[in-house]
Amino acid sequence: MFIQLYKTRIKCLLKNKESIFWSFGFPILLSIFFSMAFGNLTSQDTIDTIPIAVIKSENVNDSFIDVLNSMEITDDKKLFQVGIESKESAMELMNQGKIKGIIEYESDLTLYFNENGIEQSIIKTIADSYLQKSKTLMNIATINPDAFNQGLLEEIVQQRDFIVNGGTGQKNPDFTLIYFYSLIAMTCMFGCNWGFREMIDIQADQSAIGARINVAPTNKFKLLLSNLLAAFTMHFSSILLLFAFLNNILKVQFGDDLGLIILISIVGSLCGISFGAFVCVTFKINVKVREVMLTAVSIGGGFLAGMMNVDIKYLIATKAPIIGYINPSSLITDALYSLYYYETNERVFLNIGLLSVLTIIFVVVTFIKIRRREYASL
Amino acid sequence: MVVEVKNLVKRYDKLVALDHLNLNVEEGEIFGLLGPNGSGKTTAINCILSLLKYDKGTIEIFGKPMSPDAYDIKRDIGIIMQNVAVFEELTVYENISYFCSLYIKDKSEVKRLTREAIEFVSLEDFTKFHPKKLSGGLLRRLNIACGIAHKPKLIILDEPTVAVDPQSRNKILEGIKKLNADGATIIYTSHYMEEVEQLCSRISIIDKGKVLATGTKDELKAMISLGEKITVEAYNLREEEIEELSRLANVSSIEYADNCLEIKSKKGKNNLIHVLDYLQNHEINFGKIYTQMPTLNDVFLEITGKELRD
Repeated sequence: MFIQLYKTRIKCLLKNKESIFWSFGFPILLSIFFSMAFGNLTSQDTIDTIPIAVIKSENVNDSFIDVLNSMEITDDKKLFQVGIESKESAMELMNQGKIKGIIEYESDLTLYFNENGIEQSIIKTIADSYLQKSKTLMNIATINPDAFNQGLLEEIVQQRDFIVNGGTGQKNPDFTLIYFYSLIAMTCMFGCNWGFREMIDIQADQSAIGARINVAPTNKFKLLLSNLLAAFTMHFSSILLLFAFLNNILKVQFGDDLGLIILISIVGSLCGISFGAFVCVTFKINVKVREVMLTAVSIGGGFLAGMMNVDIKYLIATKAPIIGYINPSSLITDALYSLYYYETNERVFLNIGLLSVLTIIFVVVTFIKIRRREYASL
Repeated sequence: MVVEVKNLVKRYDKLVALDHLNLNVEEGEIFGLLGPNGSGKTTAINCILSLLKYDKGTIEIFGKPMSPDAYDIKRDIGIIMQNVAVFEELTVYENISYFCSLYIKDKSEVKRLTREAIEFVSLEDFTKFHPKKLSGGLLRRLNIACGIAHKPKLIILDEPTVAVDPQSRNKILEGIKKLNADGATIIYTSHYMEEVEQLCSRISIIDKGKVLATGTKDELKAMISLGEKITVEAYNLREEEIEELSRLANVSSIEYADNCLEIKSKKGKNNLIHVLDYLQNHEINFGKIYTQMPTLNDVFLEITGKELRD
């Protein structure tokens, strides 16, 4: 009987075109959009040594050339391949596409580009940084020349690495992945719609179908279990499809531990489904209002997890970390990113643990709420 | 006794929805629960089915106390709700099969019963249709099939003909009679007195959560003083003639408007003959004449002072 109920429920859910679109279609469409927007940022091999030209000039000193030559992507890979050229030949090289940009150092720094892209952004950032530091040093030299004897120069020229310790030396920190991971997190939270629907269909005070089911001689929890299992099957399939699409088609990196990826997906899906059930049984308000609440939490949670702007995730982490701990989308995103970036899995397990706690809270509250067998009003 | 409800009280805060309601439904009968909208019919049904908590009273079905876990009792109950309760995503066949499988474990038995239910409600040509593609009448028939497919001994129909076209309504009423003839006990709630009168062997009239009267339709009609209504198409009646007509034997009230004379008479013999005699003797021109026996609406009107559909 359980299998029969489960199969019928799967059939029912499969024919719900709206839910199918939001679970299976929408995340893939959004991932394609993300891929188009950040396509050349997602691969760690994208940034190669950038060929540039510095125009011959009396103002160009060796230290500036040294700074450019000293910059590295990795230990054996330089950031710039610097050529000293006349302005005409530099322009010709750029027109031929042999160099990505030209730096002219006269009274000020002038940059010439033929196109806009990541390489040009890097050149501009480095040039701006050099100018800013040069000016700072000149100002200090004017105001307080002794400061250089107190180690200021070393302090200023030192390159800082803002990457959190613990990352593997083999992987570049790639923050565009956050967009994709938060998309997966949002998809996990879309499971709330499945959980919500199941609870509506099983409670006599929520729907006519619920009333009819409650009159039948079927154990309510057996029915609930078969329905939620069907919902989980559907939802988890949508997550796996998204993973497969991201990994195989869009080449998004997820780390190598398939078991943990699946575990994160399972806990994330369960969290989404149980959250929908929790909202359905806890807030006895208009169905549409509750649906809006679910949408707000799944999309809003994705936003706070960095789906629209990565900086938001770090703003939350620094200013209001508690939100990060109670936002399932943040936990899923962080678990996936930790799995990709860190060598150890401590942080992954911390996130999975917190997600599990939230899921258990949702399940327990739902269970307590639907435990009653008769309703005060229908 | 199939259903026995004693002193049932259900309150919604200060509103008393059921006020010491008593019902007895005997095996093999079609029992009607007649009352206006908001009188407590659906609340009573929901309490009987253990869907609603109630404040006081007892409910027994098949001689056993009803409770949400009384699966042995529930197995023999079929319910057809006021609102259509089917899955939009499933076909006609799948819907009936699903609800039947909540009662019957054996797969082949479910198949057989599903086919029989489809045949019973004449939906053979629509088995692969989804509910959205069905007309209101066909949808009601599907709703009924989902409630009776498992061959219950007690079938509760809560206003099953609301917003149904006359053809489907007749089909539904015929079906209910057939279910009863096949041995099922029926509880039928409605605010359509014609249906209840046509269908039910015994009727309880309910208003404001109280049973006002119970009996066969003839017993109920016998409870009131109204005998028959005589309607005469009479032309140019004078005030004094109307006054004299009102003094005829057994006439309880008289109304005259738009050449239509309506006389309500008390129970008694030859009421129509007295009226005709008067019209002939006074050479009053008249056209059509017809009489009407009291209806359940008249019973309700006399007991409560208001119409059933007020």
